[in-house]
Amino acid sequence: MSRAVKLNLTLAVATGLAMLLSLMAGRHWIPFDHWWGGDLSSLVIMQLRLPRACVGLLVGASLGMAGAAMQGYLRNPLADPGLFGISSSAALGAVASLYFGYVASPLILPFFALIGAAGGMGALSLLAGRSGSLTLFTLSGVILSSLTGALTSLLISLAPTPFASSEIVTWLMGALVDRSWDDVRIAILPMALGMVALLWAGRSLDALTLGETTARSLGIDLRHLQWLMLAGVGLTVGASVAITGIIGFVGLVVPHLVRPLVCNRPSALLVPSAFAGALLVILADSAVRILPSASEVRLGIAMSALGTPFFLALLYKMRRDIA
Amino acid sequence: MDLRAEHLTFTRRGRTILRDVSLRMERGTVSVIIGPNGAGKSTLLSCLAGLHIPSSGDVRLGNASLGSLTHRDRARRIGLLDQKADIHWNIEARSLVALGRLPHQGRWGPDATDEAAIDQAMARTDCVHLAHRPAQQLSGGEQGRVLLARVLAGEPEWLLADEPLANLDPVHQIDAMACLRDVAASGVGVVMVLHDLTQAARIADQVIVIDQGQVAAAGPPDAVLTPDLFGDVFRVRVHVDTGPDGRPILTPIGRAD
Repeated sequence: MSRAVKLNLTLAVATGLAMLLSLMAGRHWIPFDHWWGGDLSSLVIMQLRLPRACVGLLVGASLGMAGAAMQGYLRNPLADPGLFGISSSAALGAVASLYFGYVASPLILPFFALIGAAGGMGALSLLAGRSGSLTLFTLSGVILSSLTGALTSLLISLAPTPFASSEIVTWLMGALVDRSWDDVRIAILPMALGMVALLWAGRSLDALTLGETTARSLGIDLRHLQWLMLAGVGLTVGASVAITGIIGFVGLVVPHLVRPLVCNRPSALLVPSAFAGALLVILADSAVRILPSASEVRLGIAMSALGTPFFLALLYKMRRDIA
Repeated sequence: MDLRAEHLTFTRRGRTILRDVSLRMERGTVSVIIGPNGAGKSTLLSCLAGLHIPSSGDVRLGNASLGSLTHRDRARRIGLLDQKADIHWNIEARSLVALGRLPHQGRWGPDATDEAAIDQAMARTDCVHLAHRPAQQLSGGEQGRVLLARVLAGEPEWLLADEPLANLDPVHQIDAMACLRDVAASGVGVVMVLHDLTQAARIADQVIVIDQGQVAAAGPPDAVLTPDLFGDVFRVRVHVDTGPDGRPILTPIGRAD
C-alpha cells in the first residue's frame, strides 16, 4: 500500500471517529446506546447533531481542498480560499438577504449567498478575461474581495434596525449552529462538483511547480486551468459560506499541516487536505459546544483565534526566506 | 522531420520583437541561437516551442503548423528547458523528473512505461542517487541535471533549451554539453540559446545569429563566426584561437567601436 493511500485512509478513519465523537459531545452528552431509542436523545442526534456534523464535514473538506488548490495554483503557501473574493461575494449575497429581511424560509439566505458567489465568479471571469494570466486573475480576486467587503460593511451600517445589523454581524462570524438537513442538501451538489474540478486541476498544479512557461510547454492550458480553479474554488467556497458563513483559516492552515506528509506535491495534497479540513472543523465545532461559556462561541471566531497564532508561527518560521 | 520558422514575425504591444525570421533545423543536429541581449533569442525559442503565437508567418513541425497541434501532442514532441525554471515546491527530485511525463501519462498517474522513462532519464544525466532528495535543497548544478532529466523523461523529438549552461560550474558545463550532444546523436533535434561563443562554436552543427529580431546569419560555425560578424552584431573584437582539440576558442577582448 502506497504512502498516499495510507495517509488518506488514516485521515478518513480519524474523520469518521471525530464525527462519532461530535455526535456524542455537547451540552448534553449522549452516549452511543441512546442514539436509536426514538426518544428525545435520538431526535437530537438525527435532526440536530448529525446534520450539523455533516455540514462540518462538507465545509471542512471544501475549505481544506480549496485552500490546497489555491496554494498550488498561486505557488504561494500563504494563499487562502478567500483570496479570490468568492467568499466575500457569497457573504454579500447572504447579508443582502438579511438586510432586506427575507427570512420567510431558511433556504432564502443560502440561496442568496450562492447567487452572490455566482456573481463573484462571473465578475472574476470578466475581469481576468481569457488571458490565463495568474497575476491578473489574483489581482481581480483581491479587488473583488475588497469591493464586496466594502458593500457588506455598507449594508451593516445602513441596516434598518440594530437587531438586523447585529444579526448580520453574528452571521458573518460563521458557525454550524442550528444546521439542518436542508443545508446539507443545498451544499452537497455544488461542493461535489467543485471538488471534482479541483481534483481535475491536480496535474496542472503539479506542472506549475516549475513555473508557468514550463507548465505550458508540458501541454498545460493555463486558461483551462483558470476555469477549473474558478469553478472549483467558487463552488466549494461559495457553498461553504452559504451554509455556515465565513470560517477562516481552515483553508490556510490545513494544507500546511498536510504538505510535509505528501512530500510537497500539490496534486497529492488535495484529498488529504479535504479530510484534514473536515477533521479540524468537526473537532473545533465539538470543542465550541463543550466550552463552558454563557453562549456558544462562534466557530468562525474560534477558528481565527486558533488560526492566527499558527499564521504568526508560520511567518516566524519563514522570515529568513522572505527577508 | 524538420522544424521550420517561415517568415516568422512576432509583435507584442506594438513592438516588433521578431521580424521575418526563416530558419530550418534538422533532427539529430544541434542548433545554437546566439545574439546580443534583447535581440529576441528567448522569444524565438518560445515561438519555436509553440508557446507564443506568431503575429504573422508560421512555425512548422514537418508538415504541420505548431498552432494546429493539440497542446498535449505538441508537448509530447517538443520539450522546453526554461531558463527561469524556479522550483516552487520542495518536491523530491524524482517527482520533479516525473513531471516530464505529464504529456504522456493518463489521468491516473505514471504507468510502467513512464517509470522506465523517468529512470532512464535520471541515469542519463547522472542523478539517480538524487532521486529522493528534496529538489530545493540540491545545489545549482544538481538542479540543472534534474531539470534536464525532466525534459529528457518526456522523450521529445525536439529539445529546446534557454541557456542550459547558466549556473553550472565548468565540469557540469562540459557534462551538460556532452549530454546534449548525446541527445542529438540519438536523433533528437536540439535547439538552444547560448551566450558563450566558444561553447556555441564547439557544440553547434548550425549557428543562428539573431540581431534586432532578425536573422543576421545562419550556418555552420566556421562560416558564421567571423570577425566581421562579431564587430557588426556583438560590437566586440574577438580573439580566435585553436584549442588542442582543433576547435576554435573565441575570447572577446574589447569593444569594436
